[in-house]
Amino acid sequence: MSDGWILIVDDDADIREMVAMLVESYGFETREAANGAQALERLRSHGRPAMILLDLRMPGMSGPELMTRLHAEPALEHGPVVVLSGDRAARETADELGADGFLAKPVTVETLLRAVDTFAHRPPPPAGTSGAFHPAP
Amino acid sequence: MEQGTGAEPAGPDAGASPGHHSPDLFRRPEDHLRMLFARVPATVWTTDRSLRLTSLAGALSGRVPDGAPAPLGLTVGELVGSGDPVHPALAHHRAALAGTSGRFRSRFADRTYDVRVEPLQDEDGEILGCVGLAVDATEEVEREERLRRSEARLLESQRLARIGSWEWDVTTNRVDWSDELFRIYGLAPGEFDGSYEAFLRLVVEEDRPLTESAILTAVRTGGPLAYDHRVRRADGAVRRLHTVAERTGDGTGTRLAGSCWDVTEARAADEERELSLSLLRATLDSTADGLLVVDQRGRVTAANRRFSELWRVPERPHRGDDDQGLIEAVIDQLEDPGAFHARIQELYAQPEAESFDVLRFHDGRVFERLSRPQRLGAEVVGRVWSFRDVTDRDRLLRRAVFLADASRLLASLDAEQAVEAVARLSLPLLGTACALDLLSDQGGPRRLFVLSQHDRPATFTELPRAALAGHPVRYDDEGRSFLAVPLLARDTLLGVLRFASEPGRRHVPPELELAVELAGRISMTFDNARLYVSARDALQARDDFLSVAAHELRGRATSLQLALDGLRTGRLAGDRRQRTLDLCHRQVRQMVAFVDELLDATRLRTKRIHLELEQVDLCEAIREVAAGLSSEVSTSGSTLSLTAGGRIVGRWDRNRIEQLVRNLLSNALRFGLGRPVELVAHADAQTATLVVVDHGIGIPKDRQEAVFRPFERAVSSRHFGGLGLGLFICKSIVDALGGELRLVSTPGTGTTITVELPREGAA
Repeated sequence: MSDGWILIVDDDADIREMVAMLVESYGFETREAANGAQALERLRSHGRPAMILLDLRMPGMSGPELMTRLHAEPALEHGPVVVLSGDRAARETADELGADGFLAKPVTVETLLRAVDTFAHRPPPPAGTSGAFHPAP
Repeated sequence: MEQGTGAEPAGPDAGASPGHHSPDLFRRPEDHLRMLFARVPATVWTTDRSLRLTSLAGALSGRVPDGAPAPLGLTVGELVGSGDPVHPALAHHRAALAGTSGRFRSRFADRTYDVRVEPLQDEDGEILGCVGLAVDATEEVEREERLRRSEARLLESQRLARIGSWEWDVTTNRVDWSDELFRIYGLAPGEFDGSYEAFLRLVVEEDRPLTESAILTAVRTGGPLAYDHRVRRADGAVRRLHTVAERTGDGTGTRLAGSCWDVTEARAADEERELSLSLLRATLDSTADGLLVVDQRGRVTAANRRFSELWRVPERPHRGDDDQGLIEAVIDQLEDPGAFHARIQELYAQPEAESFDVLRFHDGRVFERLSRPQRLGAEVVGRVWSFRDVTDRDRLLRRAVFLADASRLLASLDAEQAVEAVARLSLPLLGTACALDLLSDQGGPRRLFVLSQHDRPATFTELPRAALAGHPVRYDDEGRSFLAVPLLARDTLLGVLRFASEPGRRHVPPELELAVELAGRISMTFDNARLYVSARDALQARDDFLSVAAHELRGRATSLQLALDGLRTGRLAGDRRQRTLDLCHRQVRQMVAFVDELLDATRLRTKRIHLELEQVDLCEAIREVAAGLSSEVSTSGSTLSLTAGGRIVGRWDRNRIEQLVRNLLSNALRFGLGRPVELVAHADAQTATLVVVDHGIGIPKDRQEAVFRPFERAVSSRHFGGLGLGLFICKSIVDALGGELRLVSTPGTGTTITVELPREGAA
């Protein structure tokens, strides 16, 4: 019944809780992490998620640091990464980090779930291509 | 000469033998007489009553040469060539016929004769004719004429030269004056009685003693002796006379003669010239410029005292001195002797040229040198050199230029580099080496730089105590003169700037003044740079704060947006719906707290916190705050342990105490890296103590002060949420309550914050 699990990485507990409730209502399981370090822990414990929703600005290990670690550790399977950030300038950062998509905070439920549709059900893209997802404004 | 007028009767002896003999008596001795008369310049003749020459002996020169046949038989009238009865020869011969002898002087044949004519009588006294004697007086007459003319010329000369003469017969006390002397005294001949005393009375009274002394000296020594005295003329005018007196006569010293002339105008002119000269000398010697005048051959014509002073030559150069000697005596004082010498040679080659240049001395003096040709009429006869000491003016000018340059260099935000550039610029002016030591709270002075113009730099040893106390000072060290000036900004000693002179040269007060002025500007540059950094940091902190605040608000907005969307679309039902509503309430509360914190911080920046003091139990406040933070505690992953049993009551503001505890705990949880956070509260009779410990990221030492400033955070805002106002607000509350807040932190180990509050509330 479950379509897989989605990793929600954000230092704001309330955001994590809201996103989790909505994604769960959409048929996914969720796991939460307050920073990059916790995210790595979840990935190591639970294997490849359907996708990762990643905040960039967090105490401890930040989003970009986590991305760097993921790139440096190809064995650690992680699925598509969609950056969810309050900083509109972070869209470029997300591209540079090789994220698959970008969502600007505050985000609507429709946009959030469309991103889940797009990335969580899509099979991993062939190596060497990049398909950054940009929701319609 | 006038002809003789005296008619004297012929005495019995008159005419000697002719009176006693007839003409026949002469025939025998005629030859003898002729011979005799040829020897004397005289002629003797006799006439008959018709005045025909009956005998002639001697020569009537020119007309009747000796040895020529005598013009016997000629009448006297025929002889003198005149029939005029008043002709002296005829008149006297006729008078002789009438018995009267006569004498006269007469010209005859271009000669002058003294002639005597007498009656020629026989033994009975009958007049037979005349006998005449003519003696040639031509030379005597000419001599007399020459003497007369000479005397007249002398008198005329004396009159023209206004030279009078006098003679004093000391023995008889008789003074004779020349006419000119009468004119000089303005007296008529009768108005001077010819005594020495009368003369003395004419002398102006105050000149009398000297006059008498001079005259008596002349009498005693014989002179010649010259003296001046003033006399009062008859018309009241006072004239100055110059006299030369000498003893004359037979050497018995009884006569003194003198010449004397009026020198009133001459003396006045002399005095005028003396005055002009003395004025010129005084002017030369009182001018601030050193003057040297040399002729075309380079020999000194004149020099003033200032010249010697300026060039430090022991003696004023004398007229005729060689300028080479002078140049050699002074040239070693100059920084550029070659140029000095070259300029002199150049100008000597161009007598018409004018020049102006500046001479610099080893000892720092600066002269202006001006040179112009000296002209006599149109001709150049020499050269005037004028030297002016412009050391002070030059120093002021150099100082102004230097300060202007320094100010331009110091208008930089890279203070250390700018100050070093200025120090480099200051080196020739204030010394040959320079060092700057900066002082800081930590440790001793830090040597920012040491600059030197020489290979062997001065050693800057320990900083002088006076400079460290904020006073500029000049001191000596190892044979060098040093200046040490403190750099002060807002009563804070930033450092000490020092200058070292070259060995043997001592700094002068104006240099210390300049160094102080420079230090003031350098201090201002350091201060400005510090203010700039602090302003820049404050701006950065505010930017960071705004970024954090935006992040926080966007986070709240994100949760609320998702919550509202979820509720609107009915996607959140049952338990999720309730959780969502709770979340919405929490978000609103947090936003209100956020705004309160913001307002608090803004208010606290401008004024003291307002307190409502009451009895507050610290432990109760801690428990309540901790309960409210349960969600944050769980999110942080940290455990929170409280050691605050019982009651610790003090006179505080309840809300502020809760805010204090909440901020301290939030901070510890936020930066605690999920590690345990501990809170301990205890008290004694006076003081309550609250200690919050985390084992998180810690705060670097250089940032520990900053965390108590508004909008500052110890770490980058990109990694940690929170407004960064927490510790600033905590510090403000503790200060307001009269307490103390201390922070001990080590990066990577954690932070301990200790708060001590007086239980009786703020003093």
